[in-house]
Parts: sequence; structure tokens; C-alpha cells
Amino acid sequence: MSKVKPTEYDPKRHSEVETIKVNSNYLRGTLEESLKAEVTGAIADDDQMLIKFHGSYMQDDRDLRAERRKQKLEPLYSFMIRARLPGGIATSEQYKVLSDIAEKYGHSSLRLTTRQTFQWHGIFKRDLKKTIAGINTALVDSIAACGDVNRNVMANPLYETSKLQTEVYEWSKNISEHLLPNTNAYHEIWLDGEKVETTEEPIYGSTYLPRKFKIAIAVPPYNDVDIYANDIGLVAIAEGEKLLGFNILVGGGMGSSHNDPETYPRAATVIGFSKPEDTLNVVENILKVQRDYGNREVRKLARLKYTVDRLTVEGFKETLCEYLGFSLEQARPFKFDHNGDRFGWIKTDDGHWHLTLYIHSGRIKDTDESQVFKGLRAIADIHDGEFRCSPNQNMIISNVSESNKEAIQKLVDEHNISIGQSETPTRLNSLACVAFPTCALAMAEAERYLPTLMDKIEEKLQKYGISETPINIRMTGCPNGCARPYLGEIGFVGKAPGKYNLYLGASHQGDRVNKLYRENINEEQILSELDPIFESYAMGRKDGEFFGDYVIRQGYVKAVHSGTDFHGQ
Amino acid sequence: MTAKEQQPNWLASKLIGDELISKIKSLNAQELSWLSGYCAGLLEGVDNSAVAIKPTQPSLGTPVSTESRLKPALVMYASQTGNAQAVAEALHQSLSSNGVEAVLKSTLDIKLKELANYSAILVTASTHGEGEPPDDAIELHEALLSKKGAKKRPSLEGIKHAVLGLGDSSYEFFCQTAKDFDKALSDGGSVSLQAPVLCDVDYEDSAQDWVSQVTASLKDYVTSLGGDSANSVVDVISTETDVAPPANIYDKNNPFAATVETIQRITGQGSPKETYHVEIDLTDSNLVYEPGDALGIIAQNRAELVSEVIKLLNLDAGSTVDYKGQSITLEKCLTEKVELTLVNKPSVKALLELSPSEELQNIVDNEFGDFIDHHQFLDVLYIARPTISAQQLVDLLKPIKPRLYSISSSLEETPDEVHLTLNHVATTNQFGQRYGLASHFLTQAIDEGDEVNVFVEKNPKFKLPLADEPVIMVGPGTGVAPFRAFLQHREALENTGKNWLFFGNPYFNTDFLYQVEIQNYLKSGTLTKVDLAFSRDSEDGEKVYVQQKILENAAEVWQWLEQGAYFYVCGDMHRMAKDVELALLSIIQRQGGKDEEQAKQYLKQLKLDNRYQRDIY
Repeated sequence: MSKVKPTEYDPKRHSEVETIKVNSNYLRGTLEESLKAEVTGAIADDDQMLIKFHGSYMQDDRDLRAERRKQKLEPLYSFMIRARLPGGIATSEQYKVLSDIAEKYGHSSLRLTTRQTFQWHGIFKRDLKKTIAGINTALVDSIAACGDVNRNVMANPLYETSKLQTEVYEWSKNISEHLLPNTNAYHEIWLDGEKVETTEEPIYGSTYLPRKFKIAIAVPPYNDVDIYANDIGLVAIAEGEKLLGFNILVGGGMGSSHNDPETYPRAATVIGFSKPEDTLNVVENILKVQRDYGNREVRKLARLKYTVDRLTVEGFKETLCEYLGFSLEQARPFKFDHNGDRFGWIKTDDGHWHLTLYIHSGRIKDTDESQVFKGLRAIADIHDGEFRCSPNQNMIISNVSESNKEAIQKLVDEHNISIGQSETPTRLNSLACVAFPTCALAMAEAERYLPTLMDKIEEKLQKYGISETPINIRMTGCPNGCARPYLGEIGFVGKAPGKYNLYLGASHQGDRVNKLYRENINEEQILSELDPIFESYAMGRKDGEFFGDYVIRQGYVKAVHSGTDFHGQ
Repeated sequence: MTAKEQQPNWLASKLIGDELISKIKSLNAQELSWLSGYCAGLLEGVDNSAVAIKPTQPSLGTPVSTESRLKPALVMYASQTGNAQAVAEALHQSLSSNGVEAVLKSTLDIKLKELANYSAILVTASTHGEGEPPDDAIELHEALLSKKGAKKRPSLEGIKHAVLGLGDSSYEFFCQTAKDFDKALSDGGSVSLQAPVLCDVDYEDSAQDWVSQVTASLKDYVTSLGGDSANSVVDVISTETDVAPPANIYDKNNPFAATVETIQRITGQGSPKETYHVEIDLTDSNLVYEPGDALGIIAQNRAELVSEVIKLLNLDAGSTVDYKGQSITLEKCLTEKVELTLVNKPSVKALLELSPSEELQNIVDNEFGDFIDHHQFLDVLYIARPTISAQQLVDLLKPIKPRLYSISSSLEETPDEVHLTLNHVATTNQFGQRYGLASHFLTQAIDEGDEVNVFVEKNPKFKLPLADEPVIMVGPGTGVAPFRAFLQHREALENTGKNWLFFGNPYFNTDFLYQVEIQNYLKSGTLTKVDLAFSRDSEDGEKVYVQQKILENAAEVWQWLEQGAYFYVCGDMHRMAKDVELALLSIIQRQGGKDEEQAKQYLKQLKLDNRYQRDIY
């Protein structure tokens, strides 16, 4: 086997982003000057890359771009801030602060993400520091929530065996803390922390990672975290209440580029089992292999999934073994049922109640129909448990005592918040990314359009009597994969305004990505393509057969087992 | 020092001073060509009796004994936009032609005690805002009218005076400055040759009559004093060192029908302000303007307003009325000829005579000033509900007043265009929605491609300095307009002088007028510095305005002033301009280590040096 050598920084070959990182004095860049520049709502180009490491993206309102150009105004720039919230858990007290910050600076809206955290959108530059500082008063930060570092660590947020759930949550926190960048830049820039002369990054080094890095922990049979979409997946292996360790998965990831066969979504590969005491070490060293072997020349080929395929799975395992000094044990058997959320009230073995609310597109915001923002804030006033972000953009009011259950249900009713009882299972399982108007990458609508499309899809499901069968439908405005579209049994990926690629055939459990079925089609075409497939599914499905499996059995698309299959015929 | 003795200095400074030479160097080809023709014309037409500028006058530098002659007459102008100055110049010319020795001066150049040195004092004065004098007359006005000033005022016994006021009768304190000067001169013992003539917006005819009358009276007066008017020598004293630009063919009475190319709102969605950028094509007009000049717009009343007036008075739109000798329909007359948006006291009084209304009378007597801020002539009709004929209606109304907007472009940047930056004025009162005449016409009533009647209104009191001199510009809101012209001009000509802009408006996101252009001027280095005050963005509710930004930069503002910076202010006169002046005085005091009086003196000197110029409204 040909050995791939570790990468050393080379400004001649490496992408510009690598140089920005190296020259940033450990993520400081010129952010402080950028924040002070009054004539623009933007920050300097290089700082736009660096601010991601601090948990923020610069965006602009694309609906207004053309109009503002005529008005001789710059684009309406604003910032998205993403909290680092391992396992997606915020206490009720913390939620109050986070919500109040949103009311003050974020247009009274919070966005739940597909990675179990909160995002504030539309923060103007002049409020950015105040907002980040405000978030920190709740002892929540946004360090490394974006950027070429380990992002928010996900963990199953609700498990009937509460001891196991708590233990898994602690693991998500430990891993997140362990892999935090060491630089003091965040504290200096946002929290007026003391200026530190030197910084060392013992894990990352001055170029950090070649690309973003995602870790999640799942507890079978629930795959709500979509473990196969992560760079590192940890599947908890337990015996009753006792955590034995984790199966280790590597190389999952969603992003791809249209019409570029070198890029592809990939479901993670199981490479072994790790005992709890080895797990931090294993995770750190997988990250280090990626640090040293990841592609730093072409960013779209930089994720771990490409590194794994380049080294081959066996080659990757060998390299990891060299870093670790030992080999992983054989993976333990496990089985997932599905990757969705479980709505309504659930009781855990400690006698506490947990209420999963259906938050449409994860948008915590008041509308004419439903006062989700006010409602959740009112719940926080009386709730002494937690607010847990589900991996599917929903909200779990967690650890509710028996005595408080009725009062919380009353607030939920009063504010007309859904607990997922009136929607079809397919709608409950649907996911959309933010896309227009704030996302710079969006090629088509997603969050603003999916509900309309769902109305029409639901009509068809009803027509064929399959409304009660859950089908995972996911839509993104571009191929980068924020709403994990390639794990949708039906996936829509935006190509142009009103035009989508239609993907079919991911597994309902989330361990197989889908495959392109039709390219660049509009709504009418989408509906006419899906109609006969729904009809066929209604007539010909086997007992318990999911839609994603059916379309493969019937040959609508071929099953994708590896990255190269995704584009193959 | 007599005016006579100033002549050699003045000429010398004009000819050998750097200023004139630099000014000539700054002229473009068209202007230079005009100037050479002008000078050639002067040389040919030199006439010892009465030419305004006589560079070859043989008496240059030769002192003339004042004892041997009568005291000259003083023609003094208090002018803001140049109209009062133009009338004063006409009078001066007329006096000269009639052999009356006279001195022409701006109020800015006159010291109180100097007034006693003349045989007659002839004043032209405009009035602005709430009865306020023009910038250049503030000091003299105060000196004449304050109690302290009255004590210092020399006796004016034996002197004759005449006053011409220019104003706008839609304002409460109509021609107040002229009235004030007339009273102060009379109080000092001077005898008026005739009652003050107070002119409204359509002042030209009255002013011309006044010039003739005053010339005749004064000629008689001089003769009666035994002077030989034919041998009198005429001086010209003017601080105006600007070379007059080429004359425009089109003017207020003969406007150019220009095509409007662009009507673009430039405040973003959600803004409380409706600010527009308007681009007008001047191709083939030969209209020439300089940064700082204004564009006059002759707008039409909007159709809905005209029909509402006609309906309210139960008149017939098609009925014929006689307007200035022309027979036209009522509708046309109301649309194109007469002022329906501004409320003039004479019009209201005329209406009351035709059709008494207790309510309206009460308003006129007690709260006219407040009333006219928020009401239009239509509202007057709603209150009075008069029964008048179409002819009576048009007879009592004033002609449509042209609206002047500071030009926001430079011909150096956009050779055949003129740009304006204006707010669409819209208010609601108890009778309905009301709009500003020209702002509504330009931004709502017409479409791109339509024509509008325009003329250039020179503003010699708002001009860029030499290319290498630093400039501080304070222009919040649409006050940024002339500074956009300044920056275009200075960038196009690669001027090396530093430029510092203070801008403010309610919100950064929506109201940062010309944001992208300003960013580009910063990048190119044309703008040295920008300070911004967005009053509604602060979350603690404390509003920040440009004057605070100026004070925050006190040390640097002072440094610039000491380096010879020119300080310009454009925009709201009622609050902003006053607050900015206070800020400036405070900086002069604190940074310059001066007491209040010295600071005022410093500011006055800035004005005298044309280093403090304002275009405020």
C-alpha cells in the first residue's frame, strides 16, 4: 500500500484559506479593526473566514441585494452566531438569556440547527460584540461553532434510560472541551479578555484542520443525530445502564458540488470499538490524522471522508494505529430503527417527563398562527429542567416534574405550539436548511419553500393512502448539505431558483445516502415524477418496507454503498 | 480708513495675490475661454466714468483727498443666495451711471462706526427661516439691534437711507431683516428716503422699480448738497474675488426643459425617510454649474390637489381665467401658474377680505407661524370654506415659487448631468395628506424620461477653496448633497487637499446616503476621514448627532482649522446648523485656549476668510 505523507504547510500549493489561518495570529486577524470600521456593516475579507472559528458567519440579505445596489447602499450585511452547545442542552436559566439576547439583537427569533444548537440570525455588526458577550453571560459560548475545527458535538438528547443519557451527554461535553482551540483570541476580541502574547495550539497547530469537523454520539436504536453524516460517529454500546464503550465510525459527510464527481456525500464507515477510557485519545488522534493527511490544496476535497477514501479504510486504520499505538477492537453489533424525533410527552425511568415540540423548520419565532418565541420564553419562566435541541431542529422541554407537566402543556396550548400530533409523519420528518435570504451559498429556496411543497406532496400521499407512513424528506438550497439532504429518502438539492435535483433511496435509518433520480426540475415536474412512485409504493410495498428501500428494490435508483457509487450509473 | 484708501490694496491683492492666480489656474477650458473674452471686452470698453472694474485706471495707487469731496453713498447688501447682492450691484451700477459716488459692500465687511462715514445708506437684505438675517449679516444685525450695540452706534443724523427687503411671504417673519435694518437706521437718526420696499418671491419688478426710485432720489439729494455728480468717482468694494462663471442662457424666467433620467429612492426598506437621488440630463442646455450651486425646479401642482381645490370651491376646471394677461383654463392656471402648497399671508388676507372667516382670522392673528408649517393653501380653503370665483381665486394666489436644491454632482464627473438629493416631503394634517410641491413632483408625479423645467442658481457663498486646501464638510441627511459634488469635483481634478466628512441620519442600515460612493472615496484616498452619527441606532435611546461627532474629534478639528481648513455646513438651519456652530465655538475655545469673545472673533475671521461657509435651509 502506498503511504500518504503527512502534509506540511506550503503557501505555494495550499489554498488561500490556509494562508489566512497561518497569518491570523491564532484566529485574531484584524477582527478588532473590522468591528470598529463604521462605514461598513461588513468585516474585512480575511476576517470573514476567521470569524467562523468564533462561531459566526457574515451574511447579507440576498432579497435586497439588487435593490440596495441601485440605492447606492452596500448589501445589508448581518451576522449569524451559532452557540456551542454540546449535546444540545441548555438549562432553563440559560435559555432565558439566549432568548432575551435574540429579542434584543436578533429580531426575536432563534433558529434551531440540525446540529443541536441555537443560531441567532441578522445580528448587525455594531451589535455583534454585545450579542456574543451576552450569550457568554449564560455561560454559553460560540467558540469553534463554525470554522476548520471540531464543531458542536452532538449526542442523543432523549433516552428512556436516563443514566445512560446523562453519561452520553457528559461525553459530548468532554469531547467538545477537549478539542476546543487553545487560542485566547475569542476572549480578547469578544469578552475584552486580557491580551495574551503567545498562543500554542497543541492539538491543532497554526493551520487548524483542513476543513470543518463533526462529531456525534448516538444511542441505538435511535439515530436521531444522523451518525453516518459525521466525520466521527460514536455509537454507544451499553448493557442495560452500563456504557461499555463506543463503536467508532469515520468519514461521514454530506457536502458535494453539482456536476463534480470528485465530490460526493458519504455515509460513515465503522472502523472498530473503543473502551470509554480510550475514547478521548481515539477521537483526538482521528482528528490528528485528518489534520496531517487532509487535503489542504482543494477545500472541497478536504473533509475526512475524502482522506479516508484516499488512504482507503484499511490504510486509515493503520495510520490511526500508528498515532494511537494500538489497534481498535472489533466493532460490536448494533441496530438503528430510525433517525427521526419522537414527538409529544415521553417519560424516562427517573420519573421525569420530556416534551418534544415540533418546531417548523427549527424557527423559534412568533407568527400569526403560533407564538413559539413567546411561548418557549414563558415556559422557561416556570420550567426548572432543560431545553434540549433535537438533531432534527425540534425542541425538547426536558426533565419536567410531574407537578409541572400540566402547566407546561397549558402554555404550549396557549401559544399554539405543535407537539407533532396533527402533522403527518412525513412532515414531522422533513428538514430544510435556511437558504434564502441570508445564506450566501443558496441557489434555491429551502426553509421558505418546503412547507408549500409539503402541502402538495401530502395531497398525493393522502391520495394513495400512505399519509401515515413516515418518509424522510429533506431540502437544501445548495449541495453543501446543511439539512443532510443526501440522507433523505427523498432529497431536494437546489440548483437554481425554483429548480432542484431530486434524489431518492436513502435508508430510513440514515445509514445509506441517496442517489440522483432527476436533475434540475421544477415543482410541477417534481410532483409528476413523484406521483407514480407514490402510487407504486402504496400498491407494491412489503410489510414495514420503507420508501427509501422500496425505490431501490423497484430499481428507480441503485443503492449507494460507497462514495463512488453516488455518481455511478 | 475710508473705502477709497482700500482700493490699491484690493487691486493689488487681486492681481498679485496667489488666490487670483490659483483661481485662474483652476478654471476649465470653457471658463478660461470665457474669461479671456471678458477681459478683452473690458479693455475695449474702458470708460472713465462708470465701469465696475478698472484695472487700468490711471489713479491706481494715488491717494485722493476725501476732504475735497462729498461723502459717498453706501450700497450694502445682506445676501444669502446672491439675490440681494445682485440688486445691490444693480443699484450701484445705476448710481454710478448717474454720477453718484457710491461704495458697494457686504454687511460682513462693515463695522458699526463706519456707518457715519457715508452720506446715504442703501440696504438690500434677505430674510431666512424664522425672520433670521443671512449668515453674513448676523454680526452687523446684532450690533445694530442689541441694546449694547445701540449705545456704540454712531449718530446717523444727516444721513438718508432706503431699504429693500427680499423674502417669502409664506413665512411668518416676512422680510424681517429689512424691517430691522430700516428701524435701526431710523433709530440712529437717519431719515428714510422712502418706505422700505418688501419684495416677495417674485421680486424682480419691484426691485427694479426700487433701484430707479432710489437712484432718482439720491441724484436729487446729491445735487441739493451742492455736489457735482458728473465728476464723482465711483469705487467698487467687494469681497467677492470669484471670477464670474460663464452666464447661463436659461434662468428662472426662461428655464430649460430637461429630461429626468433617473428617479431612485436611496433610503433602504424600512427607512423613516423617503430620500431620492434624481439625475437630470442637461445635454444641449449649455447650463453650467459649480459645486455648491443650486438647481431651481419649476414644478407643477399635482392633479389631485388641483381637482380637490376646484371641487371644494364648486368651480369649473374648464372655466377661463385671466392670468397676467393670458386667458387660460382654471385647471391649467392652478396646475402650472399659482402656488398652492405654500401659504402666503397676503393671499390669506386677500381671501379673508373676500370671504370672512372667524376661524381663519384667528389663525392669522395668533398662530400663523405654526400653522404654515403644517398646512397648505387647500387647508386654508377647508377652514374658510369661501365662496369665490375662479378669477378671484387666481388673483389672490402668488405665482409658483421655484424650489432650489443643492446640486449633488460635479460637471467634472458627469459632464451633461445634474444630480439632486432630496427628501419627498409628506405630512398629514387634520384635512389629509400633504406633499411638498417640487419634491412630490420630482419623485412621485413624473416618471423617468419626463421633462422638468430647471435653471441654475449660483451660490457664490458656497464654494470649494484651492485644490490643496483642506476641507471639513458637515452634511447630515440631504445636507450631504453639495459635498457629493465637492468630492466628485476634487477626485476628478485630483485635488490634493484633505477632505473630512461628517454625516448623520436616523439609521445606518437604511439611511447612509451614498454609502458605497463614500466607501470608494475612502479607498481612493479622496476622503481622508468620515465620521458618522446614526441617531436611532443606539440602544440606550440616546441620540447621537453630527455635532457630538465633531466634539468627539475636537483636537483634530482644531488641528485642521489651524492648518487652514475650510469648514462647510449644509442642511437644517433650525437645529443642526446652530448646534454645529456651538460645537465649533466650543472647540475654538477649548482647543484654542480662547475665551468666548475671542472664539467668536476667531469664527468671524473664518467667515471673513470664506473659511466658514454654510448652505442651510
